[in-house]
Amino acid sequence: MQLEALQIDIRPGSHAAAIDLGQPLLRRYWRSVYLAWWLPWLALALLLWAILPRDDLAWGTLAMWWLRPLFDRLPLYILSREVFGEHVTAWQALRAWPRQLGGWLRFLTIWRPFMVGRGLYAPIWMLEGARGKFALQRRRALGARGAYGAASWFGVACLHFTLVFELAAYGLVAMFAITPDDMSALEALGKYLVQPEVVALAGHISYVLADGLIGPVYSAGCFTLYLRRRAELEGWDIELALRRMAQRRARLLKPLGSAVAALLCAAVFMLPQPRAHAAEPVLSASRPAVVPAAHAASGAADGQCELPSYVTAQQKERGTAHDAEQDAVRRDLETVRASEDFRTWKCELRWVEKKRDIKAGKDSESWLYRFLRWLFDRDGPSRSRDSNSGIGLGSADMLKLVLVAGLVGLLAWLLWRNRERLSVLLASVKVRPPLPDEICGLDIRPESLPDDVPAGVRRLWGEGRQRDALALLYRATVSRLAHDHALELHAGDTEGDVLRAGRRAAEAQRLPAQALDACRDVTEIWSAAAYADQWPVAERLEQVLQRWRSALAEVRA
Amino acid sequence: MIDGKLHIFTPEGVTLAVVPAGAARRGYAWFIDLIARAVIGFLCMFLLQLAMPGGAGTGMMMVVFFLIEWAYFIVLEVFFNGTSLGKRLTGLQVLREDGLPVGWRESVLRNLLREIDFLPFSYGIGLGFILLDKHARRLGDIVAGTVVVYRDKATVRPALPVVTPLPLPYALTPDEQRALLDLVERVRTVPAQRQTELGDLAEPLTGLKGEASLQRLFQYAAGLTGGKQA
Repeated sequence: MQLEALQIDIRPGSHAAAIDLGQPLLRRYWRSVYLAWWLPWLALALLLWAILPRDDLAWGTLAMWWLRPLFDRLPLYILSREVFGEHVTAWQALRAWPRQLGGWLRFLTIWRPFMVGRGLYAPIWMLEGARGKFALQRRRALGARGAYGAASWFGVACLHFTLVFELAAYGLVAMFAITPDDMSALEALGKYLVQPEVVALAGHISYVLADGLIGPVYSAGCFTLYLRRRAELEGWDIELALRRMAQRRARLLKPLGSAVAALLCAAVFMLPQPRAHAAEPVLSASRPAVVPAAHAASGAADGQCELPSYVTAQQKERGTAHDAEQDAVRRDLETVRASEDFRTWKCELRWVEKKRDIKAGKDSESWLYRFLRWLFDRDGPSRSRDSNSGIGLGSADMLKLVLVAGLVGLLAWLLWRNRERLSVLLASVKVRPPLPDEICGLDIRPESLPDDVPAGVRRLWGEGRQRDALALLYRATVSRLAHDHALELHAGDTEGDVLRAGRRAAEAQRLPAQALDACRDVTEIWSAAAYADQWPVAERLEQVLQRWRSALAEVRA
Repeated sequence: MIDGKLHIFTPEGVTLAVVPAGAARRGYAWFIDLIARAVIGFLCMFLLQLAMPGGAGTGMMMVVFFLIEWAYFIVLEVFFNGTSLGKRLTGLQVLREDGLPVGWRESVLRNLLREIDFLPFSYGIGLGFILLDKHARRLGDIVAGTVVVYRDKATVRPALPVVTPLPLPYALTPDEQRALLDLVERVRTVPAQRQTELGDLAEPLTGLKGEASLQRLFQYAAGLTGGKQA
């Protein structure tokens, strides 16, 4: 058993998730599985239909259901080999089928088809070749911890899925049988299903179709449950992990042993990033890729392209070597840097589009000419010039032209008619976004400010509430700039952003220089006070307030 | 490698793996919900007939039936973290494909499309899609961009034996370190003979064989976890 070749993830999980794994597995190998199932399945169905009396076909359907445990072997045979990477065709599975059946004929008891969890135990007989008492032990071991219960519930679900598809088949036919007089689709179908032989035949067909679809689903689900269960019991995933570790260890040791001179260097560079090989594509993607030109293709195939320009530029920058020794050292360095592990560029062979001569004539044609040609010459030159070849345009072409002209005219008229609505739409784009209510956490709505700001500031300052005074001053400044001078500010702006916006506006002549000066003063004393705890002297504040009044308060008054 | 998982890459560069639930488990959940809706319907019918006999009761009954049919799944999924009663009992959950919980948009879409999944009769289309789709989504899930997954249960880590911690013999990748911890947690559950085999397989790592090799692995694991539980 080649665990490395295993196609599915066998790390332990819930039983339900293990059963669900059967579906992707089945989807991957559905061709051979369904072919192997359907050949004998359909043959049996047709045989039963042919030999049984029409009225008794239901017994044939029952027989197929009873024989289904035999058909379960086919998907199991294929999937159990494919999952380990061994390719099996449907024909090989069918050839092997009689041998698989051998001992199973005696298991065709009355209760076998009722044993809904049988799929979990099938591999014990079929794949492990266990018999008698040993088989019983194996069943106990595999079915433990609720695994057999999970398989049984899955069997019950699959029975119902068969029923779902049978009913869906009836429903599909009923959708086409319904007439306006019928109350419902099923009632419409009921009119056809009166004679016993028709009922029996419909039941036979729908069962064969539905169980032919669900049978492999059941087998696959039980098989993956079996696999996971065995992996859990025997530690398959542990073995896999250990084998991988050993392989990587062997890979690591090889370069270390081979080059003694490079031993230290290699050890330093390889140990901290042991997965250098695996990570290669990722790393190289972040490097600038040098794509060789088409003529350098032969060199590129050997992994030797021209050095990228930034490397050669670097080399040139260094100038000539002082002496022979330095030159030798440099050459050594260059070889090391050019080796695959150290270089910062990647050499790869790529297809590059050839430069093509653009035909001068094509593009010089005007768009109108090309449009007209597209309009009238589309059907090729063979069609045109039918009857009245001398005139050029046929009557149908004239009509086409008139219709197109009409369409263009209609569009133009619609644009003209709706010009006011459109102009509003265009204008609305330029409307200023609403001003934010606060900046730097300060409320800048004009209604939140006192009427006379400097007086308010002086009062607060006089009361000893210096921080409040300066905050009010700064708040008022920003508010005036935003509301009176239409400075574009955003809720997240900082003091610096506000000042920068002011400077930009002043440069664009949208803000008077005085206002900007006032703003700068206020920002200065506010920042010094708020962030550095450096409070201005009263004279300085008075001076700032004076300038503020002349620059920013005027507009309001 | 088929692992039956949906790997979600978050903007932070983290990969989350969720396990989409297959047709069987979803079928059980649906059946439980069917019974729950029937019980709710009968209870409401009974109470309404008591409260307002006659035409008004019948009218209200119609409204209740409408809500049970259309609103039951939507409301439960939106307000109970993507679980209806049946999903909760069977350990399932609806998630958006990017791993976020479902909102009104997704829930309404996936449950309105139940009617399409129900066609031609008894969820024929829905079952077909679940069996064919890579992440076992029915048509409604595909349209709404949702996926039904198993809810993670909190796993109980088994106690590790207390041994003298040892440093690793050479640097192991994070994957290998996880595999090592996984190994020491589960190795005692396999048969004794198999344990010896696994110990032999670990020889390149430990330089020992059999049980002694396993003991050494336990010491490495203790070194990784700092002697504490993993």
